[in-house]
Amino acid sequence: MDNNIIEQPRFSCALGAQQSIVAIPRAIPILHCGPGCSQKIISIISTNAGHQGEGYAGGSHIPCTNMTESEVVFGGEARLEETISGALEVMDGDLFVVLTGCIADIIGDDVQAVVAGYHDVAKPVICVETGGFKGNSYFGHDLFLNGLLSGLLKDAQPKVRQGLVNVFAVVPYQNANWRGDLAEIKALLEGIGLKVNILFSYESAGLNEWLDIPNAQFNLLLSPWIGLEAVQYLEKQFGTPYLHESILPIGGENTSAFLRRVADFASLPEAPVERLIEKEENRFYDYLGSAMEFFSDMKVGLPYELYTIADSTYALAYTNFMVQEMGYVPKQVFIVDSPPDAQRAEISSSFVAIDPELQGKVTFTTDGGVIHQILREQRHIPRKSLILASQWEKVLASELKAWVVTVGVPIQEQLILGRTYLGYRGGLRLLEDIYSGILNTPGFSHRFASD
Amino acid sequence: MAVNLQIPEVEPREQRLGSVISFHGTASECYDKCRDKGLHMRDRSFSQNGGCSSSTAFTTDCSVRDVAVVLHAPIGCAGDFGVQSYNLTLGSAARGLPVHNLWAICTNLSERDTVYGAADKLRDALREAYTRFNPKLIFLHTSCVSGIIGEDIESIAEEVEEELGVIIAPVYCEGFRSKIWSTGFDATAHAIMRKVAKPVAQKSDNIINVFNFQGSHTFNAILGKLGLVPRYLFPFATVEDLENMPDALATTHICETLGTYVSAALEEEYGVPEIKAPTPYGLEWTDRWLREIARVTGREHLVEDVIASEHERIEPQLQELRSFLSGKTVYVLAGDSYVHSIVSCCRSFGMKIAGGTSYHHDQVYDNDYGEVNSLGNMIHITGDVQEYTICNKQPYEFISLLRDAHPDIAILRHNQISTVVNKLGIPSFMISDPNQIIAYDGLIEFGKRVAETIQSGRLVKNIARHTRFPYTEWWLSKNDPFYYERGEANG
Repeated sequence: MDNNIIEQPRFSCALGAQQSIVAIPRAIPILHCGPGCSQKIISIISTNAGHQGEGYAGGSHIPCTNMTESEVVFGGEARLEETISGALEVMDGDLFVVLTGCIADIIGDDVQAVVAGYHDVAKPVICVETGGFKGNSYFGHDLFLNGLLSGLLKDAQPKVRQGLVNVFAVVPYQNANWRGDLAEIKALLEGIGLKVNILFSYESAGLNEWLDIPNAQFNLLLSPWIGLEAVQYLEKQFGTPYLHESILPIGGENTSAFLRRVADFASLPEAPVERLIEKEENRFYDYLGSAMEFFSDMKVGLPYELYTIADSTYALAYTNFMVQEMGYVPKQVFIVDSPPDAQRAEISSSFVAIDPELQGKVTFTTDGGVIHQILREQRHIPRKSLILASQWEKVLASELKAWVVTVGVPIQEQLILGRTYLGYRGGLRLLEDIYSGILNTPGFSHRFASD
Repeated sequence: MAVNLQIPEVEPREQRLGSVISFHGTASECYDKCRDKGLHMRDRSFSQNGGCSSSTAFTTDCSVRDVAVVLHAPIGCAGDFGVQSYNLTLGSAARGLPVHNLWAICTNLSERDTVYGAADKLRDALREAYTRFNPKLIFLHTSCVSGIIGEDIESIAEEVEEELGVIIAPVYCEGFRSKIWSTGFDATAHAIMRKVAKPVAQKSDNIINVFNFQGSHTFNAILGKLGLVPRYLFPFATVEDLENMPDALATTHICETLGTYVSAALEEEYGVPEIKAPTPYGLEWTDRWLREIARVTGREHLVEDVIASEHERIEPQLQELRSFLSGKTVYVLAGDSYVHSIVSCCRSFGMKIAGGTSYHHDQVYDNDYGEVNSLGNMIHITGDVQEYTICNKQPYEFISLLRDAHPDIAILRHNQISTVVNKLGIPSFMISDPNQIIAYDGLIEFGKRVAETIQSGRLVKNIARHTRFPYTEWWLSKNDPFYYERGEANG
């Protein structure tokens, strides 16, 4: 993890995994942490991520030990025990996950021992140590995935069903479009004939889906690094192979190629896959084609150079689509999720594979102050640059006379419900949002490049 | 009660004010027990998450103009940077001020830092804040982690302050120090009183300190009628405003829970009188507040005319709203004193109080003037509240209270609590800007918002039909909201 100071944070801490639990239907988080941690997390990766709301057992419902002075001095194990017991009585859920915060991890409470005391209750109680100082909320989601899989499935005996796939993809809540994105991924995969354990969101069947994980024909990993350890664990534990797709599919040709690779990996019959692709691809290009009048009429006022500030997963996806499909010239990419060092070279190469222009122009930093400093020094920006970024870039963009569309946390000026930018339809929605955003920015004119 | 600005860290409210987080009974029973600090701090054996001093401290100081905040914490504690930056940019634009992102840096404490300490990282962060933002003042916020690993904040602040030549004011707001998140308000006030406020050569003849959140400038009109000028503190104030606080004629605020520590400190250290009256919420409270301000500032000859003409001016709208609101039932949930203020507004319209829940209660205040006791003011001026509870949020407790009370509307101050209330099918008015509803015009504004909330309540009724709460049948049918409170009952 990066260990630098951070201005303009774009994620929460490892304990942000509470939102991953909230994202599983009827799962209940139990927090062993200070009294304000949970609300701080909700602030940035729920409210500040398109006003996503409390979910089923999130928000102010989340049980918490609210550790204060006496737990710091005398230890918090007894407090945790009574909180878990209370949660099992009061909270109506199928799966209970205990997460620890900084205080518990520093004072060294033996939480695993406390949780082990609940091994014989009717519902699974799992513990993951996610002290906030261990890393950011992307890292925390990964910790949580690994902890939940090993805790829940360690004694499982797989009965493999052909055509069943588990999807490990975006980070719930942290990625503001996650609900719509997972629904779209599921729909695409079902479209080519697969059965899908999507694991998170309203599209998931909750605990039963998680218990079904060992029975999948394969795992589909849709991120450069998040979930990588999880699919490796499942391969080792159950022999389940995985397909690693680092770039989320957006648009016509990208999505079609993605579906063909998945179908090939899963050995699906070709004809139905091609039928779906033909139908969806035709529709995508009919719509895109209908926008050519707009692109041509408005061309003078529209940008053509691209700056992307996003986490590695979405930066790859958006850059790929905007460059490959929409013909933007990529200028610079800022990766803000602090991927593990081991993955950084490969992530950089993926960008260069999208466009050699990006050689040396992929910067890994979590400090918005550094990003803004670099952007201010760019000579290319005025009038013709599109910045795909966050709320932090709104003021900067207007100073630099760039167009900005907010795609990542924090995003407070949008209400995000089922929105997705993935797949065929998501690609069209992304274009609608980008160009409607530009058209609605004061100062836009199609007769001259706004100045 | 003595305010001690010699010590770096303000004492938590549970020690200073005997604050508690549980009680159920009538409001007057609560008031009576508090007279001799008869309530005990009782926690619950099962709790839901609450809030902490870090957020309340940050919300009161991060939008002071030209200041930077350095938060010495793991990155999760910076979870409110984004929301506060959003508020800052909107608020700056509305005030015609330069619009920029929040000037704040988090030291992003890592596992290594918890073992070896992070003094150098903190020094670097302070220097970076100075270089990046060129602030006139830096607030240095602590966190649970910096507190537990024993970082020497005082020394670092003094050392870097000398190096940079800019004041660095440490704000001790570790979340674990207090069960009362309002302690964070005091942490900021303490830091500003200790490091920023200065003795003044000359008293102003028209300035009143007004402690508020990032509220609108509604005090201008009402105080203007007495020839007085409000100085809004702390959000959007200038550093000079903070320095000059001691020159004011008097101090008032929008909420005792927010403003009484700093008011007491200003009175004790600099002789700035605290306005000894209720806050300006509701008719009678506003009258009393104005009279006291007039008395303290030597404007008694003006005040009765102002009060009479204001009453006359709002009378037609007040009557119209009363005819709709009178008899409507309301449940109030907010942070201690603000419950009492909302009740006062409601009663000015003849609404019936179905119940009230304060998230904590301060049994005394730092200046324990009877005239400033909001609970006492509510009871003695507007009447008792029969169903009165103190509960630090805890939806599992209050949903059954609300379900039983079945009010026409709930009025509150916290967004996530509002969500829970709505899912019960109860329309809610969440007061996002308390300044909007002060004094006479504010009372009319309050009435309109309450009426429109009741009139547009169909959405929440629809949502309630499709909501499943995350509570077991056992719990929902238990009908004992205080089941998990330990020890001898308060009330």
